[in-house]
Amino acid sequence: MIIDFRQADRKEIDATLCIVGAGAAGITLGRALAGSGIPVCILESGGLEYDERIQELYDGKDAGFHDIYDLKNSRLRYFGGSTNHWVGHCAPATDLDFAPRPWVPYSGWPLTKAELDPYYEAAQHLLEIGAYRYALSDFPDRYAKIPPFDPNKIVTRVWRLSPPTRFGAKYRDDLARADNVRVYLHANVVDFDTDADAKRVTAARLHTLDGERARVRAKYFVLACGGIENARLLLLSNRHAPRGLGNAHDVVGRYYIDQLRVENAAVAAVDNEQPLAMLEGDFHRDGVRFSSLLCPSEQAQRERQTLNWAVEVSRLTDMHPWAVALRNVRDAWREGKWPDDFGKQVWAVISDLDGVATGMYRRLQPWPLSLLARCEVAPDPENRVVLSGERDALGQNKIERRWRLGPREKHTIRTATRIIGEELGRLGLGRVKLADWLLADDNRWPADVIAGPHHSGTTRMASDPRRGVVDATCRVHGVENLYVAGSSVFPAGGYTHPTLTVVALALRLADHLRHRLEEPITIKTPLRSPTSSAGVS
Amino acid sequence: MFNASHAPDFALRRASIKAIAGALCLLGFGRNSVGAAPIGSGDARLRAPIAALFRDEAAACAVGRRCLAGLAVGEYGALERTRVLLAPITGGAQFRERLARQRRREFARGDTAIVNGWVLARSETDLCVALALLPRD
Repeated sequence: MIIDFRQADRKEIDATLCIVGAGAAGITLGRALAGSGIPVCILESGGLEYDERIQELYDGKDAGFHDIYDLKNSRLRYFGGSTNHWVGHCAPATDLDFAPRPWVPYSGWPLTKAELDPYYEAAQHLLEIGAYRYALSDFPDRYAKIPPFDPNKIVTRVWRLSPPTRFGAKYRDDLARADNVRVYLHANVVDFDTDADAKRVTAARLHTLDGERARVRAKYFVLACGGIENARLLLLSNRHAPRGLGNAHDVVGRYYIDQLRVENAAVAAVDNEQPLAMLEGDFHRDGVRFSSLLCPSEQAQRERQTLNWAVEVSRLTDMHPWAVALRNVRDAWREGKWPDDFGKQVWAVISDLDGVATGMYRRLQPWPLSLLARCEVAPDPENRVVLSGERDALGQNKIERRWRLGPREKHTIRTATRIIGEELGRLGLGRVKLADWLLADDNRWPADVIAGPHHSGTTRMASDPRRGVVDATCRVHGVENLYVAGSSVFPAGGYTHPTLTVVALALRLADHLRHRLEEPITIKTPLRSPTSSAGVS
Repeated sequence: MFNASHAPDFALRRASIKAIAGALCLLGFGRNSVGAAPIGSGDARLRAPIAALFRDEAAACAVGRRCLAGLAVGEYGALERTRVLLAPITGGAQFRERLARQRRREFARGDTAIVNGWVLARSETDLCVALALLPRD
C-alpha cells in the first residue's frame, strides 16, 4: 500500500520494521520483506515525482574539494531516490577492497567479499544486469584478441550497465501490492526518539512541509536515506545522545569517501590501435550493455602502494587540441615524405611540442586514445559531514561537507597511467603521456576532476565502535534496534560504483532482520549464513 | 634528471620535451635499415648504428640537437649506457632485436623515465640523447 502521509488520518503509526528512505536500499529491503508477514513501514520524504520544495531539504554547504555536483542536486529526494538519475554502472567491489590494506589507513571491512557474493548475485536481477560474471574472458567473441597484459600488473573486467533501473518506477507496484508493506510518501523523518540512555530507538518523528507532525513506533528501524542523510539524521537525533545517536566515539559523519573520475588523465599514442580499440566503447549482449576496464592486480596495488583504480579507453574527439595537432602532422606527411628541415618546418606549424613528439611516431593512428582514470578516495577521518548552523524548511540543521583529496589519490592516478604506459610499451602497442597536472608533486587538482557523486562512508562499518558506526550486520553500535543501509556503511569504496553493493547489502540485511525478528529482541543474533531468501522473486 | 617531476625550471623541462621528440623518433624509424658495421671503440663509430635507426638522418640530427639544447652533457649518462647497450652488436637483426628486448625488459620492470609526461623506457631516452652527443665521422 502506498499512502500520501499528508492525507493520512492517523498520526501515530505502528510497525514492526520502519525503513526510513525509499531509494535503492530502502526499496530493496522493503521488497525483500514483502509477503513475509512482517509489518513493514517505509517512510519517504518525497512523493512519486520530483518536487523542488522537497529537494531543497538536501541543500548544504561544501568546504574543501570542489565538486561540480552540489549537495542539493547530486542526489534525489523522492520515491526511488537517486536511482531516478543514476547512469547504471555496476560491478562488485573487489576482494582487496574488503581486505585491510596496510598501505591504506583505515581500510578493510569486517566482512569478506565471499560473504557478500550470494547477495551480489541476487542483486544482479534487481538491477537487470544479467549474470554475476565480470571477466572479459566471459565474452570471448568480443575480447578474444585483447592485448596480453601482464596479470601481475593489470587485470581486466567489465562494467555491466543497468538500463538503468529506476527503483521507484520498477518496484512501486511490488510494494503497493504487498499486504504487509505500507509506504508513506511526504513523510519527512526529522530525528529518532530513544530511551533515556539512547540505547534503543522508540520512534521516528515525522514532519511535513505543511506543519503536520507524527511518530512511527517500531521494533526495529533501518536508516536508508543515502550516504549523507544517514549521518545527518543520526547527528540530529541528539535528545538523549548529545553528540548524536550512535556517535559515542565521534565517528558519525567522518570518513566521508567518494570516487574520482578523471577524463584525459593520460593519452595513449598507439602504433597499432586495434588491440586497444576492442577495449573502447560499449557493447550489448542479451539485453545488457557492457564496457571494459583495465584495473590493477592486487600485486600491483600492494607493490605500488596505491588505492584501487581503473582505466577506461576512449577515443579523443576531433576537436581536442591533441587531435588537431596530430592531424596537422599527418597531413604534412601526406604531402611529402618528410619535411626537409623537420624542426623548422614542423615547429613552425605546431606550437605544441607534444604534438610534434607524437606526430613523429610514424605508425601512429589518426587520433590518439584517451585514458579515463577512476580512483578510490582514501578513508580519512578528517573528511566528514557535519551539521551546519543553517536550517532547512523543517527547521533541521543543514549539512556541511568538508573534504579534500590527498597525495594518495594523486599518486594512484599517476601510477595507474604509468602502469598502462609500461604495459603498452612492453607490448609494443604505443606510448602513454600523462596529463601535466599529474607530474607535479603537489596537491593541485584540475577543475574537471569529477567526484562520484557517490557519497559514502559516513556511518562506516567496523567491528570496533571506535572505528565505525555500524557493526558487520549494519546495526548501529550501542543501539540495539537501529540499522543503517546504503553506501554510508562502506568503510572503503574502491573504484566501483556503489549501487550494486548497496543493493547486495540491503538483501543481506533483509535476511538478517528476518531471522532476528523470529527471536526475542534482547538476544543478539549473529548474522546467519546467506540462504535462498536472498533471492529476489 | 629526465623526470619532469624533478625538473622545476622551465629550461630543463623544455629540454626534456625535446628529448622525448628524439626518443619517439627512434621508434618510428629504421624499419628497413639497420647498421651493419661492427661497433668499435670510437664514439664516431658508435654513432653509425644509432643513426641507422632513423630513416631521415638529417631530421633526426635536428631533433637530437634540439634535445640537447639546455642540457649539461656531463649530467647525463646516456652515452655510457648506450655504449654498453650496443657493444656486442655485430649485425643488423641482432641490433634491432637487442634494442627491442631491452625496451621490453625495461617496461616490464618499470625502469622508465617520465619525460614531459611521456612514459619511456630508459634506453629510449638514452639512445636519443646519445645520438645527439656523438660526433660525426
